[in-house]
Amino acid sequence: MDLLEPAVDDMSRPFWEAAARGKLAVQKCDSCAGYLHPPRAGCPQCGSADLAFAEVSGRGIVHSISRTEQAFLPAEVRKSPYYVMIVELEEQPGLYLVSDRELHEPSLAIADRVEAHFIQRGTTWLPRFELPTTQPTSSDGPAGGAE
Amino acid sequence: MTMSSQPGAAIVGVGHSSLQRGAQDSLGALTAQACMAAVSDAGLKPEDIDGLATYPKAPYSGSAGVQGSDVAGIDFMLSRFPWPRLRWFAELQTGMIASAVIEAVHAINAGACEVALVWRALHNPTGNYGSYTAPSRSGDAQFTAPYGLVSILQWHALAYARYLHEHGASREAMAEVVTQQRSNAARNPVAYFRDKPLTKDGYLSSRMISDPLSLLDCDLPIQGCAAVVIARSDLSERSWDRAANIVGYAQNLAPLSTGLHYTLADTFTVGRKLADSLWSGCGLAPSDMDTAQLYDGFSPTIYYWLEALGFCGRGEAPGFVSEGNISPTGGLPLNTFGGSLSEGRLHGIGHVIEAARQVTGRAGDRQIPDARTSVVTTGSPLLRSGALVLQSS
Repeated sequence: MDLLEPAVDDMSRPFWEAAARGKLAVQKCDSCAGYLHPPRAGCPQCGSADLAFAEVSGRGIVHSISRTEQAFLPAEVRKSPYYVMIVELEEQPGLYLVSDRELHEPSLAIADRVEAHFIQRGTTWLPRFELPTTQPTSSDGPAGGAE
Repeated sequence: MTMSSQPGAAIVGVGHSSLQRGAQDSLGALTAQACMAAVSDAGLKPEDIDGLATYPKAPYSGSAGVQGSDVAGIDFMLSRFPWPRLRWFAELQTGMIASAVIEAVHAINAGACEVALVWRALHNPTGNYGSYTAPSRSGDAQFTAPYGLVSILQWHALAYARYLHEHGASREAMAEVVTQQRSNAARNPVAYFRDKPLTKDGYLSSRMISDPLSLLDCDLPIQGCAAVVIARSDLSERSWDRAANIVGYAQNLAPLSTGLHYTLADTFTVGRKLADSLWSGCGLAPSDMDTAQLYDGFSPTIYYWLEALGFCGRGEAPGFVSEGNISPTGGLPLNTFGGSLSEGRLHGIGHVIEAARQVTGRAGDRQIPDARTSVVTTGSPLLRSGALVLQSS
């Protein structure tokens, strides 16, 4: 068993199903049109329970990044050092996803543009943010490729 | 939240256990030690106590919850001493120790008890602190753990990295905070680092944990306990000549913008909401504070509180500390006991006790002259934190 494989639940299942198709999808509120992540039973902005998953571009910017030196996890699970980062999606200020970065990959800094790619983790496909391979010309074009 | 119609409540006794690493004594023994010290400091005996309150949660995941071993809650205290006059207790599951203090004030104002003992016991497990063999991957953690984001320290690191980026600040400025607190600890006989001076270079060369947070930006895990006795103010006027009146309090009520990690924006907006509640509730302002005892689980938490409470503007904290404001002779003596970074991690009750000591002239060698009023925060603005204002009569 992969100790870092997400434990999918009923509320999050559409997110992971979209990821398996190479798409990034997060909840959107039918009432106030705001996006939210992680999945919630109701919209924290307006209180509405009318939420549905909607595909988003997968494009964003690095909001913050930290190089973790400490071995919080056993080396066989995840070897330090590595980077953890917060990505702010272009659809909405404050719409954040988490990602990571290995030291041997090209470095990223706050404000760099990134886009979602997908890697397999156990039986799950995991979105992971990389330097863009697509040009940010269209506002609603497809995000970076899947597997 | 005005208390003018109520008798109010005051801290009339304080006590610490010894603070240990690689603990020699059990958590239960240390908890009893701190509680009896506080009761004795108030000039009381255990049979005078008629209320008990605590916030017992272990500050790490994986606690077995064994009373007297890795937690010391109400069940521990009821089995450890007889408490013949006990009429009321409360065990808080959220809100840090300030919420237990606030509950005791409410109980006293409601007549449920007159003299309450409030304690906070912290277990220090052996081994690599905050390491996870099998991190949670359920709920919100399914979106973070797969990327190795498993520790709350990393959450703080990400918020602090953003702070340095947005405000053009450097880690050098924080050296002023950390070395000043270490210097303050030298005048605090219970501080774990009382005999361990720290230079700016020593701080800046400390091992990085998750950039930009180094080892010395983190509070010091210890095993120990500290306690306060809170009494009805009209009783205290009869029996105690040096009481720290609890004249203001607030709890952190705002939601965070995401459950995945901390954001810098939340530090300010969430902290500001607590501050508005605190200052409007007691009718006092930052300029009325003679000292500030601000939670420092991680050093940048001090910046966030200085800004959220209104001691300086947003992004101005590095300049505020560089200008010398936080030294014992500055405009706002800060964490005059060394804070959690140098006294040890008591999750905020150390801050409460220092405020009570300062406003009642009982801070010994580190007493700030004429200090009458102090603000205390327990917890980061991003957790379910709380705040108190203590003032002597």
